[in-house]
Amino acid sequence: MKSVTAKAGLIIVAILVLVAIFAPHLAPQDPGAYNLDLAFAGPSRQHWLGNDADGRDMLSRMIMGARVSLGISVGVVGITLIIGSLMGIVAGWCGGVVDRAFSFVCDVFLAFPGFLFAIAVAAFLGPSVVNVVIILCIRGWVTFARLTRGQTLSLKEREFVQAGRSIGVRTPRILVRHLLPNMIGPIVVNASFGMAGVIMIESSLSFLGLGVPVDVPSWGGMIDQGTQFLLVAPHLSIIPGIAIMLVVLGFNLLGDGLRDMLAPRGR
Amino acid sequence: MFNYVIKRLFTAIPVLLAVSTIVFFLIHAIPGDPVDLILGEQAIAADRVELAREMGLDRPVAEQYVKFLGGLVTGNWGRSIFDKRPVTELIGERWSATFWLALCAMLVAVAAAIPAGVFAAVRKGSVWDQLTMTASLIGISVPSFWLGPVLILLFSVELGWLPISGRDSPHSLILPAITLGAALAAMIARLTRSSMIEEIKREYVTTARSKGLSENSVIFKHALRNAINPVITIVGLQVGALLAGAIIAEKIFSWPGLGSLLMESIARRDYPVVQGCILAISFAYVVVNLVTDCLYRVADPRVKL
Repeated sequence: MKSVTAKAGLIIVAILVLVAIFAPHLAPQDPGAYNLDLAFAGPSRQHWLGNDADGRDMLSRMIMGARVSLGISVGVVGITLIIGSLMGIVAGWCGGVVDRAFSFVCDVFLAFPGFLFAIAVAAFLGPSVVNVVIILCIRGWVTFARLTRGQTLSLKEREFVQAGRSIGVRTPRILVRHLLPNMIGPIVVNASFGMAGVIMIESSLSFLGLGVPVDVPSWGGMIDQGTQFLLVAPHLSIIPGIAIMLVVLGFNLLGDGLRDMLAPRGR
Repeated sequence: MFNYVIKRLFTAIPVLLAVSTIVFFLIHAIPGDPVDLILGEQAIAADRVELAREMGLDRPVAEQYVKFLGGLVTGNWGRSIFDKRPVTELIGERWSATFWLALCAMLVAVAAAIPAGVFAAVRKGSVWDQLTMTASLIGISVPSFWLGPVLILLFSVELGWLPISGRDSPHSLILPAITLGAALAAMIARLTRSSMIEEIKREYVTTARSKGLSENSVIFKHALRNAINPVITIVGLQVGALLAGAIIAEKIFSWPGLGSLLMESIARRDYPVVQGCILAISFAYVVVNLVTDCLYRVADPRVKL
């Protein structure tokens, strides 16, 4: 990875991953421990990022929040990547009615703004971590599916695929062993941008009170709670916002870098 | 052209139908009984039966569905459970606030981003170019629900220039429009820059320069006109997304639009209004995309109709 910005992206993402994995060991205090004496306290030696309205340690909540955000986005991107890619490959390979039906379903999902769709479903299902994952998966697969469908359409006419078919290689093997490895590059690039997108939508939902439940620390939810005390303690909403911005920036930079590295033609 | 518009209208109908179907079935996706959720499990039986009847939930699903679609066409979108007023009336009251907010956000974004993108492309590699690109990268990554409070702190609390919230004066529109338009501005600036860089390389630009035209004329009359087409497409597609993004800006600034109505109704479990708001925003999204698609083909005669 040559560019400085891509390296910066990689470093930000690596830090996030490490923080998320070791969150329980890194958090200096119990993120759920109330201490009303310390409500709205600014940064201090014991509490580096200060305390929230209930006196809970902001740093510990930020660290646990990283785990929630990253966990949800890894889950959503992982599930949608697998389901979407398989559906796209099958649609592109089969063509005809299957492909037309598939394209219509994709068009319908894309006719909804993704964020509105998430709000609509969340409004009816109610806030919970599992619901957020389900909601983001319902629409998230479309991006990967359209990508792999397009790739399959162009790859299936290539000589190596024709050669495989002519010597009698079975279709599932062609799809998984020959087609899929040839589209890994764009899929990985999209996964990186997808992570940025999922973190943004998840925190937006939590900000609206429709994402992660209030008792689970999440960056979007922390901004929402913080804005109620914007004039008294602005750090409550500013700190989680910077974290979201850095992480989204990190995944976007990483995606840019990976694209330049893996798929230079798409630049 | 006319044929194209008609054809495009027909492709939009199944999409609208599918969107309506999804919205209809959302109320049936509620875990448990919607009536329990709205009234609470301790509600008396008579109230429960009355509400189920009013919402049509006592009828078979197929019948409810047909009635729902019929209502959409005839303008009967149901009544609010909260204040018993027709959903269309509530939406009608709030619609213009969201429209103006989205329009201003788009204007702010276009007015800031296109000159910035053009200038960055013309001075590619310069400090200005790097500054624009860095700012746009940050713009894409900043969550609007963070930018809004920060703008309030800066311009309303510290400087006292603009109102914190509400819709009392034309000034009230400035901060919500910037909050909503920032990400779009970042996207347009990047797109304008890359599109302009491509155009400036072309032979007609060299010809225009060798004819002795002024640099301004070459850039704005020749290159920008061609570079602007992909930008128009993206702006059009994003206007719809602005309508959805407005929900957040409206919450931050207590802006009395459709987004606030949606969030208030979600909090009150006023499901007919929730359905109505989601439908209204989605329909607007589909229509805006349709119009953009047609405009794009008018703006660029090379696109065959």
